Formats: sequence, structure tokens, C-alpha cells
Amino acid sequence: MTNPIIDCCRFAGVARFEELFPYMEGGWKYHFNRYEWTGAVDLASNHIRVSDRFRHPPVAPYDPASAPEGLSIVLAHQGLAVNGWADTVGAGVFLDALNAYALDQWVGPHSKIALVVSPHEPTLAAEQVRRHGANPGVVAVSLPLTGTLMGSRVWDPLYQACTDLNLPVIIHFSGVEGSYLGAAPLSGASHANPLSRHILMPHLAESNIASLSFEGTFYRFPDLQVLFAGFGFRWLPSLVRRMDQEWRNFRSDMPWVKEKPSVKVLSNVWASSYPVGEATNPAQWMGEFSDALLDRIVFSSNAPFDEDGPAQVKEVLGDDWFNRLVTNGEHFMRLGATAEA
Amino acid sequence: MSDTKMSEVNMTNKPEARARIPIIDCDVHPLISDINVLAPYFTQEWRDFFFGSIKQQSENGFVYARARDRYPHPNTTYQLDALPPAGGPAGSDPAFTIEKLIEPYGITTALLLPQEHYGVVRFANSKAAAAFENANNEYLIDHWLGHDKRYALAITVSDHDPHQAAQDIRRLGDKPGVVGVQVLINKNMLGSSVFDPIYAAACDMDLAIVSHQNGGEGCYSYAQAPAGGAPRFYGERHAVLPQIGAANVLDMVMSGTFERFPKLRVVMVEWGFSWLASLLPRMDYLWEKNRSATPFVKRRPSEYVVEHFKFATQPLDEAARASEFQAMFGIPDLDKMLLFSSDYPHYDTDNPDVILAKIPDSMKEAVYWRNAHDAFGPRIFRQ
Repeated sequence: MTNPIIDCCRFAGVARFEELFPYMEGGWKYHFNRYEWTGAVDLASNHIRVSDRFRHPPVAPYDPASAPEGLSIVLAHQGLAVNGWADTVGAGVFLDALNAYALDQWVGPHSKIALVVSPHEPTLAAEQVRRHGANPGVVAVSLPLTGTLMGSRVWDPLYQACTDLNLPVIIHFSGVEGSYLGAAPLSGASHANPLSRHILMPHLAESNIASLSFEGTFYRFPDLQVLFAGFGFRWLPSLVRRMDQEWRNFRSDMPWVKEKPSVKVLSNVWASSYPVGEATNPAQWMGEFSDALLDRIVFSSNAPFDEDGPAQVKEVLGDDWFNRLVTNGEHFMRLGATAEA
Repeated sequence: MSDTKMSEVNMTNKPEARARIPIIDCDVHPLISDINVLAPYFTQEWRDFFFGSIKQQSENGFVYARARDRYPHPNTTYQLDALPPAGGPAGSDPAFTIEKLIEPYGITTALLLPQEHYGVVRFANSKAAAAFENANNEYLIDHWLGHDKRYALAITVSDHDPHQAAQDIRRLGDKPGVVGVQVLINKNMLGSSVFDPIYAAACDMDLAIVSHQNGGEGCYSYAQAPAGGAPRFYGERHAVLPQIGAANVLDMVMSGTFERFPKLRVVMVEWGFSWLASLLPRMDYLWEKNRSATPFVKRRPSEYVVEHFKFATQPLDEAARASEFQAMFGIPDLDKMLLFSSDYPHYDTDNPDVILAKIPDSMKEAVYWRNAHDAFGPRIFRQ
């Protein structure tokens, strides 16, 4: 391993929501300062909300000085969960405060943040990007998933802002998908347990890649880069084959999709290594991936939760593979972000 | 069941040119030629209900559950050369299906999955659902199973009234040629205990459960849907439709269905299979980390899948490279799960000659017939 590591998705959170009050303007802190909300910090801290257990450990403070040499992209996981909020206006205020806090507290020489933007108001999301996007502490934008697929034109203002500021979009589930009304639904209907929902999360990445592909989003925004982090990556070949077949069958029905969808997947879409434990025995499945598709996979640790460190990734995929993930990460940042990797 | 010898299978009607391997096509769709042919299978009360006019013009309202003004198909849903010369919709003439599919390709058994039933998922009235399902089931038993012994049938039920469905399974389940129960997916996931009476009846009658997309997915307020939201149009929706099959496979495992019904076999048709490559290791890996999340799962989730599920080939993924094709067929234990299907007479029918030729030699017998035989039992060969 010679290159510095680019960790494309790790998390940080606040231990107490009260820490955000100084970052709220006007009377908003009075709106949020009620136990029903501040007491729910433990729910929001259960970052993938895949447990029905009674207790969740508090979030350990994140010290940007602890980031290894290279670059760690930090997502405020508590912000992702606004996709399940009913108060869509309050969600924007909360995210503004959380992003301001993150810029204050989590940025360091090797630690930058992904700005979490409001999924409820695309124009506000674009505004949030334009307000902070030039800050050197911001290297990406994260959009929580609602029931409006990513290829919808309602997101165009957001994508315009991201491409104007050369920021990639990082998608990670919040954990309330398939559970809270308004958040993105999961496949099927009501699920047997939170573990089932966790297992099915990659379908969100699949549907949104299909939506981006079939809606022609990457023709409207050729420079837009979208990373689906934390969903694994082994589902990619099956999805790409299926999309290409649908395009071949029905291309006359979608003249705005000018090439088979895999072409844009290979130039605009990324996936990440976590959880690498589901990708054991690469010799058995590696053949499904073209070289070009392997180049779209980057390293993400998922720290500080169930964490894949470099050692674990190397153990499963081997040293060469890990080096490739790091190189891919450099390409991801070069293509899409302003940070110095 | 898998120890049946090929020599025990009657091979009459098979073209000499074809290798001496039986072929079971697990997805052939029979249609009724005209809704009026079902009239004799209804009581007068239900004839009045279904055939009484409310002065609306609709000639084909039952054929699909898919809302055609929501996800209109870009072309036709059937192969043009599947239209019977004597008239009627594609797939409505049992003799013509023999002429176009069974004889030319040497199909030993064609599993009939009726599709008018799919429209039942829109029904609000459980009694009407049962009346329609029964009429259609009985018509197909008389006119298709009675026409040729190369036809087998999965009678169709829904979860509108599971106890009624169980009664119907017990009543029709031992008719010659009935080999399975096609269960319509609607608002309940297949692991729900709502289905237990249906599964109990299927196990008692030694019938496999069959699940096929019904077209209603993603269309109605209470229908199951793909993840993420509403796809915009037909091709996009079709690209992500397999997710619903995958979600229901997982749901049956996580809900302990196979602990409750250890003999239950489930055949997933037209849901694809290549997604097993990612789903199986993911379900095992995350379950190992969170075993107490489901008290019903006693061993690795993938073991239930391999033991209880079969997956049909159509539509077969088109691999770009030989290594991709090999890896696609390298899913662990796929040789125990994969069976052949053509989806005749639909627009995306997989040509049996083309698909069967692609199956790796080591899996040919399993995919051609053995896995279907494992699922449906010896009665899949009627001769």
C-alpha cells in the first residue's frame, strides 16, 4: 500500500441535539428544544435503524485529527434520517445547523464533509449546495432518499448546483427506508424484521441507478458523479445486464437514452466496498465484472459503526484489490470534487 | 424425487433430433379465448355479477393486473406469430400452442400459469375473487389439461380469503395434471402467516407453490412495488421488477415459513435469478452479525433458499463475456435451483433452442427437467 487511503464514506454525529442550537437562527432552537425531539437523538444515532432493540450506544465524538493520511469523507448520519421527517421545513433548518456544526467540528487536513441537503425541497437543496459548496471543507453532497427517484427532473436544480461546484453526490440509506412514511420505500411490502430491511437496502441503489439511467439524467448532467455508498457492489452486474436488455428491447420507447445504460454507469456511477464481508471468495464471482466495472468501486469504511478497515478489505479481496479501490477513489475525487486527495 | 431415472420417463412425442433429455417448460401462459367461455363455470349469481353490463366499453379488462394507462407496454405483450389462425388472443388455443411451442422444441411438459387470474389482485371482494379463480381454474383443467397430457397446471389462488383458497386447493389439487398452486402476490409478503392455510393445503396435497409477477406490482395503492419509488415507464419498471421476487424470497426465509412448513417447495418464475449472486451472501453475512433479529431462522438463510426454492431461467441475462457467463452460472448451488422457462407466448419469450443450448453441460439435466421434477414431483410427467 503506497497511496494514501480515500475513505469515501464514514460517519459522525452529535451526542446531544442541543449542541446544534447555537447554529440555529431566530427562534428555531425553541422549536426544537423539546424532549420529544432531543430525546430522540438515540433513535437518530442508530444510524441504519435496523434494530428493534431498546437501547442504542451513544455516538462517540469524532475527532478529525484521527483521520488517517489521505482523505476521509464524513457523512452526518443523523442528517440522512430527515427523509423520514414529517416536518419538511424543520428538516431544512436542522440540516443547516448540522452542516454548519460539521464544518466547524469535523474538518481537518485529512477529513472533509459531505454536505447533507434537504430531500424535501430541491430548490433549498440546491441553495444549500451553493451556499457551502465552495468551502474547502466540503467535498461532496449527500441526498437522503425519499419516494421520488433520483432520475426525476425535480432534482435537476440540485444536480446543476453540484456540477457547477464540481461536487459528487453520495447516497447512503438512513435506515428508515421501508419504515417511515415519506422515506423511500423498499421492495415488496411490510418486511418481517429490521434485518430484512437491511438486507434489501441495495435495491434502493438499483432503483435509483435505473431511474438515473432511464430518465437520461447523465445526458442532462454529463459531469454528475453519483456514489452509492454502503450498499455493497455485487448486485451491479445483474442490474447492468438487465438494464441493457430493457434498453435493447424498448429503446424506441426512450429515445432520450442514446446508448445502452451501462455506458453511463461506467462513466457516472460508483459503488463502495462496504460491507466487504458479503464479497468473500472473489475468484468465484469476479468474472461477472468487467475491468471497467471494477474501476467504479471505491473504498468505504462505514466507521465508526460496523466497520471495514483496510485490513479487513485486504483480507477478503487481497492487497491488489485494495490498491485498486484506493486508486478508484482517487479517480472518483478527481472527477467529481475539489478536495486535494 | 430427484433420483428418478431418465429411463423411467416416457419420451413419446419427443422429436428424434433432440437429445434424449426431457424438457419441462415452467412458464407457458394459457389465455381464455373469450371471457364468455367461463360463463358455464359460474353460478347464475356470479354470471350476473361478472357479465352484467354497466355500460362501459372494455373488451379485455381481466387479462392483466398491470394498469395499462399507468405503465403501457411499448409494443405488444405477445409474439405476433403466437396469434392463433382461428382467432383469439395469443396463447388461447391449446392445439396451436402445441404446434408452435411444444412440438417444434420437443417440450415434454409445459407448466401452464394462467394470467387472467392476475387481474384478480385488483378485486376488493374476496368472494368474487374466489369465484373468478375457480371458474378459470376449472376451465383450464377441462380445456387444456384435458386436451393433451403434455400440459400441467398450477391452479391459481390469492390471499383475499386464504381459508377459501385452501379449500379450493384441496378440492382441485388431485385433478390429473394439477401440479402446483400459483399464489398471487398482492399486499402481503409471502412470508406472512396469512398464507399458512394455503401452504398447509399445498403441503397436504403435495403441490409446489409457484410465484409469477402478476403485473399489478407498482400499480396500485396496496400492491407491492419495487424499491425507491414509482418508476416512470414500462422499461424502467421492468428493469427493477425482480426486486419484488427477491424481497418475497427473503421474507419467507426471515418469517420462518420453512420451519413451519418443512416440505414446502416454491418455484419463482420470471423474477430472474442472477440477483441470487448478491442476495445469498448478503443475507448470510448480515444474519451472522444480527442473528437475534429473527428468532425463526435456525440456520444460514441461504440454506433455506437452496433447499426450498427453484428459479426459472426466463428472461435469461445476456452476458457480455464468457467469464461473465461462467460467473453468472457459478452461483453456489445454482444447479439445484435453476429450471427452464420460456414465457411463451409473451413478447420476451426465450426461445427454447437458444436458451437450452446455453445451459452449461454440467447443469443441463438439472435445468432441463430434474429441478422441475424435484419441485413438482413425478406427476409433472403425465404420460
